[in-house]
Amino acid sequence: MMSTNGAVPVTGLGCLCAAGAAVAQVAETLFAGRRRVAWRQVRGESYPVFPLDSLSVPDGYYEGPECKRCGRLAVAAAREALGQAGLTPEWLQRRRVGVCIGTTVGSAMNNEAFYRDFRAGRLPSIEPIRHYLQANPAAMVAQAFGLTGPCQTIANACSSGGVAIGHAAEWVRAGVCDLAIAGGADMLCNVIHAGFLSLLITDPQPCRPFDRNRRGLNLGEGAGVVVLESEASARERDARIQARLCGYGNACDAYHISAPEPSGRGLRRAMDQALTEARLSTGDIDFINAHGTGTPENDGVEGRLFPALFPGVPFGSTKGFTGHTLGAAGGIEAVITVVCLQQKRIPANIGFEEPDPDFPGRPVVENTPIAGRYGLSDSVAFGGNNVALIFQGQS
Amino acid sequence: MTEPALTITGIGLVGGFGSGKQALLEALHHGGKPNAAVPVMGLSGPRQLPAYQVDVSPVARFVPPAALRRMNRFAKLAVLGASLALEDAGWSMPLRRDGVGLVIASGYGASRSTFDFLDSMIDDEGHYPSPTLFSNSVHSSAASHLSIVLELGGPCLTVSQFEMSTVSALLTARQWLLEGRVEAVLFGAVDEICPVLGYCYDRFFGVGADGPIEPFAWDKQTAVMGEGAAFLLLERAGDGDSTYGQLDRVSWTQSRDAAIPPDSLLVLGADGHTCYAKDYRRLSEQSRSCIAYTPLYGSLPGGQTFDIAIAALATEQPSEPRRICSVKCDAQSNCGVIECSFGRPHHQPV
Repeated sequence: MMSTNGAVPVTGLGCLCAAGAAVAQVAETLFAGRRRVAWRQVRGESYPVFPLDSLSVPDGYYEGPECKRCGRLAVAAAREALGQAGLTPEWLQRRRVGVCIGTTVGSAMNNEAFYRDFRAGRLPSIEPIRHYLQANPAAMVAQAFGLTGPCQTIANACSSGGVAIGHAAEWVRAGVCDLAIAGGADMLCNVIHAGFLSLLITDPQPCRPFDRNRRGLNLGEGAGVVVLESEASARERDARIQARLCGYGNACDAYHISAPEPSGRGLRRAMDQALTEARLSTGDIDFINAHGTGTPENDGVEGRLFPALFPGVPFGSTKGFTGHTLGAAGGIEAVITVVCLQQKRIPANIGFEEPDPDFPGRPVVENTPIAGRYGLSDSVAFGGNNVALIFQGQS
Repeated sequence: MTEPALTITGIGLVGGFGSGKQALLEALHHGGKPNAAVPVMGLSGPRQLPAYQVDVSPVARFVPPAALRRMNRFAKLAVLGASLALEDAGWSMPLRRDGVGLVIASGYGASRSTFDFLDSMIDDEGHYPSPTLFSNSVHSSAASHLSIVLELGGPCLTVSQFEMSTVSALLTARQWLLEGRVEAVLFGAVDEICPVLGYCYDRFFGVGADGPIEPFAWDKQTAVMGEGAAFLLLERAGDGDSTYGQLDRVSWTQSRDAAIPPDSLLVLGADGHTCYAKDYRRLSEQSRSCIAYTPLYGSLPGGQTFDIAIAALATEQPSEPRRICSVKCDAQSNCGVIECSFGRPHHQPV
């Protein structure tokens, strides 16, 4: 693969999830080791979930149409990221700005109430369809800020947020846009929750990534967004560069529609691509923000692959704080990875107590200092799509 | 600025017209029309709506029955379209290659499986719904099945941007090729009809959903539901045998800013929806000659990929111009502009 040697500056971060309503609050929660678990009734039983705090949801979140929640989350995260980057609406409207948002729930028409009425022949109102057609997350971000550049809503399932950031960087490098708002957004949704229950990969207790007794994931909601900007644009306005995205890889397992390939060959290829693009070797990576969902299969793949590829490199999952936010996960974890580079430490992998004898990988069990400049974040999705992002911290 | 071009080395088409290039060329020759009537429960009672519906059974020519067993219809559409494109390019299946990227553009994704999963939730109240239906209900299911069937280990992307899906996805596919991330991209637009879509057509458009599509009747709602898959095998210019020609420029703009090259045949994505008509009308006034292929395949969000593929095939006929500019607009007046140059004779004209 050709190396692009085109690290793209990150000039803004935005994040909201169960761990907090803004980046600083999320970081504070993670390093304080707190998690706020809620319980949600799904099909008559109670399951742990990671919702947003009701006081920190975006305006209209609960009052407006449910299908617009993903878009509202993306807009809220984008607003924080743009504010942090010092970008005003007037400036943005004079530039070519792209929007690339990954999601799972946000692209699907799965309004249960509408469909029940439709099925029963009750001729439901068409309003939910109208709302769905207005709810495309990337389009909602573009409309919220009056942007006219390219939009892309990525529906790669749980790798969507990471893929969105990788592709947005490609657009910026190629001059398709001067700046891109990229990340992921997803909401809690009963239909999706029922789906994960059907797959028997939902932990009835708060999730325990990489722990021997893990039973699966807990769903969460939120959004994580970065502002990616060309070097020329960042220099022109003397922007503060928070980090650089220097490597991106995306590869398929070609194995199974819902289970990861056990040896992690697709994930390994995605990581190799990201390293090649960044012109780094495995020894240059200082920590890994793992996908770490808490499912037996996913954690097994990462728990075997990390020690083999990156011996001695500390890793941890932050899903114990955020839940699995599906298409948002790659975006939220990209933001967390940059925060870790800035704070020169990574949070403890909450939920981990007992090592799994089936694999050698052990996540960090306490907040751990890091010395170097490179953090890797990976995501693994349904259907075997894998993504790896490498960020370089600023000295 | 001149952009590096991509070549189209294979085309696979599946639609209401049938499967494959010959079926499309016959429709082009004789005129396309809806091939099915879909029962719909409308406000005024049961009625039939015309539709362009696909017979996916030819997929069995490419994939063994065991592999088809767990595949939803959306994935079968994609696998059939992709297989035809690979066959057209002379590539044998499975590919077993990591250097081939896979990009799927879809307006609504695997809508039948989405509602089938809801059915399983409602029917089995209190029990677990079907995990197979759930796995197949996500938009990326077609790309996942394709990567498995073709044994593709390269990058993979599913884009869902309604009418802008093709241009948005093509911006990324192009970048993958130009950055050297892949040697080739299997690029496809896939959309399917489902009963809810029929209900929406009835409720939104009433008798305007009865067709036939009249793409240039700007003030008249005439859209007819369509489904299908259109695949292009793309390579960097110079890398492959340029069977059909090349994609010269891909851009996302606003319809008011779209510049149509004067020497190009304008291929309008006008599909009988009045909500986009004012933009198409304005664009058509900028051009000396324009055409719409939507009556061949129907109204569907990923139609721009069909337009490029059909233009490539149609341009092989000597009477057609060689440069085309495909435009697709959405309700926000975004506009996808794809400029192509075609015309290296390869097939016998119909």
